Amino acid sequence: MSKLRLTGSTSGFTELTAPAVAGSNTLTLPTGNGSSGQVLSTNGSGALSFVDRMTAAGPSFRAYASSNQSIANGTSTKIALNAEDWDTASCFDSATNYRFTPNIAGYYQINAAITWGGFSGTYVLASIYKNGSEDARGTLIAAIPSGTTVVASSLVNLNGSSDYVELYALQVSGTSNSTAAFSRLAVWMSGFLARPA
Amino acid sequence: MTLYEQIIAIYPELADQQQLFINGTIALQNDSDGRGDYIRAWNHPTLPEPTADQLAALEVTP
Repeated sequence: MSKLRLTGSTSGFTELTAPAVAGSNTLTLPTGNGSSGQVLSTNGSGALSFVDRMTAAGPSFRAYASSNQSIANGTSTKIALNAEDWDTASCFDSATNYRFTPNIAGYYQINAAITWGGFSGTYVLASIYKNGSEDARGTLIAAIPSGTTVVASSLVNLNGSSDYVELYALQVSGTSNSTAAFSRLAVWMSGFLARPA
Repeated sequence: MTLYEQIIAIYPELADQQQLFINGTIALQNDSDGRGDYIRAWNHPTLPEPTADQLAALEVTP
């Protein structure tokens, strides 16, 4: 017999079917009904149990600069993201180092934008830094019009203890210039755990 | 005078080579920690990195 058919009390049936080349396997159901949202998991020997489904319920944040910031010509400068919309696990430092240091290891989706003030420059750039070094370069625009916004987005592998990410800005216009500041819309960075390590 | 302006004062020819400050040949950085601008990397093929004495001879505005 390769099938186990359970007939509905009124009509129809549910059928469990063994593979054509079935081997010798025994799956033992757990006791109880489990909890809402749980799934069956095997111990590798056929003993099934109810376990919580893995979800990416890791840290998430959105931080922004509440004021504009002067950026010297040709100098990569860390953006002082000194305000927060949210910081679910208190992993973002908006007071001193302006960095995200998550407490769960994994792959984090980081997004950022920098809006520049009223100047026309040769180049502007937004970059995501990991542990003090450039990790992902975002938009690089030459001959920008006034008020340009540049963005950066990357998936960053962070170890959940000491690794951190920061937002840096670079502009080349021949002189110092400032980022824009009009509430939380202009200069910001956000991130969330996309997949645990 | 910013660090960039100091470097241009030492090497005026770099004023026309702005792309060097974008592509990593000359990397200036400021970590917004109050310590001001610094040279993170200097990979220019012919011009040597300015010495501390050269930079100190020029006024610095972090």
